[in-house]
Amino acid sequence: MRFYDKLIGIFKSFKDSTSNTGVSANLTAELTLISTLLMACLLLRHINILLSAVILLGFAVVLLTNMPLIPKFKSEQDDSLNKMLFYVIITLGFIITIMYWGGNFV
Amino acid sequence: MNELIPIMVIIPMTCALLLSLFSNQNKLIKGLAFFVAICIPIIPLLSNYGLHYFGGHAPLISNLTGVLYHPAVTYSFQSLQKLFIFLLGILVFLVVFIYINSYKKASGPYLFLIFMGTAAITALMLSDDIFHMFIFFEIAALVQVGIIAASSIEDRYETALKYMIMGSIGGPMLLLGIGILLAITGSVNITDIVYAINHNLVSMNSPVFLLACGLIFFGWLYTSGLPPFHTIKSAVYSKAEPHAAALLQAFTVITLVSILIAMFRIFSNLPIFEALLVGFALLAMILGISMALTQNDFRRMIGFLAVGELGFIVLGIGLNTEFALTAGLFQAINEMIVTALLFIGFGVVADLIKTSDIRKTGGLIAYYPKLAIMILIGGFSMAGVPPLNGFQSKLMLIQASLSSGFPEISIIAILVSIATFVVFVKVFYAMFLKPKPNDLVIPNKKVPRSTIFAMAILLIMCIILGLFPSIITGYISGFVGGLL
Repeated sequence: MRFYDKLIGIFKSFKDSTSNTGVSANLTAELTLISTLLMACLLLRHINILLSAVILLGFAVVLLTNMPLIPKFKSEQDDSLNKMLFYVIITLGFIITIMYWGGNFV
Repeated sequence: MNELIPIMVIIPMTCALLLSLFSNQNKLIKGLAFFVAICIPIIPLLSNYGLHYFGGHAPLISNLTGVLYHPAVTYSFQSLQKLFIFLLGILVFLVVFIYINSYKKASGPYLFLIFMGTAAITALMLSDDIFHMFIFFEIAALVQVGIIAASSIEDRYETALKYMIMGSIGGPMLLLGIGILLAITGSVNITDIVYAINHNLVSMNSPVFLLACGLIFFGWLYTSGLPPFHTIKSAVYSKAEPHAAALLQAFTVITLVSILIAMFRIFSNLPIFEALLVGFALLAMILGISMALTQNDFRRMIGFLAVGELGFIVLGIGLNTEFALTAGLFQAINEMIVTALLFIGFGVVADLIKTSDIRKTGGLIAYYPKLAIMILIGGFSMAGVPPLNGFQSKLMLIQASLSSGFPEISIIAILVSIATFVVFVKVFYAMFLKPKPNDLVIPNKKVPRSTIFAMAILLIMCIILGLFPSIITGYISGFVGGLL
């Protein structure tokens, strides 16, 4: 796909945000999301510095190659009961796994 | 007067029942609701600190082991409880005041829900019994569903039903965790459980104990509206009437704080517990602000911001230092005040112009200048602009994370605060400053005086707490000193 088509695709993905304020807000959300998530990855240095570096670089690549993140992000967090239930069950599994097998190691 | 401790729960509960009983007599229920709403913030001020044992069953010392245990449901009233119950009382008074002034005919069942919710949340804050807390949380959850269903906003039934479905997962997990804790410690009294843990009567490495911690933690996420429950919680706020949304967020903050303190007392020796708290706090902050920025419905925007602000509270507790805990609890107080102000302010605008879509609004500053200024200052407070209360608590949190060796958390907190400011710039411009759209009809109605009064009270509290934070932090640090 040519660069021009990619650009048009990106514009089309911002369906509800064609006003100045909407675009500015979405760009702010995009930048805030990326910067805060990368900053949060740095916290892993308290466990292992190498792990932190690897995850930070991997995460940065994933985030930057999947831009724009906000439209995907927003569609995953809409009011659909199915999506809510999916993430609730995933979180329950995550917490129990972390607690059960990693309980005393942080 | 320690007798007043149970009265804090009994009075709103009795009032709720009477309001439901006499729901046909408009003047009577308005008068009763107003009178009790005045009494609720006064009782915690008159009460002495101390404990109350239901049924008069004082703690017993086991002849065999010499261990002290609590056979009765125990209420503990300390400086933190005094602060939160007083503030809840103020909010209840303002909400009831707005309600009875806005409607010619008051609804007994609706007022029942408000007072029953208040009683349940007060009991949650006072109780030293984890099962008792669960019961009152369930009552509060049902009350919240009722309050949403009673509103006049579109899709309210669907949101109420979804919240109940989510509750059918979160509630039982919380109960299961409490049940496991009861099975391994033999008590539901938090002081007894903590004693058993601290004296190695229970192994903290036991997989069953860790499972109980995980289940209670998950249940707490539901009770607090933290991720993954942030979407439904923000929807709940946006579907309630403006004054009710202000009260619902106060219910959520107090539920979060009371269950979090109980969990902190029981599980704080587990290293993973603090890591999980900080992780979910950051997630709430990041998700809350990202979603708020992308919304076009200003009620939903405030709903997501309210959820994001909860992250700051949890962050303070998760950092686990005296200063951080004080900062987190101070943030909880500030959030209750500021978010109530914003829900009432934005809600009344939505009621007047019959839309909450910022693409359809504009030019409202010419029609509602007082309201605009109060909303603007409230927004500044939430974003952490000095010298308002939000600035003080966020500054404390940033200092706490720096001194705990987590500069990354400070940076995230600052980024989130800046993004919060952007949200308010966006919404304030879209509602008040940009030219009025031609198809927007502004009704020839003034903002109700009761609403302006309530917002002014909350705004004064924001300014006073911003200038003199020690009024609150003194009470909190006294409690935190005993907790650690």
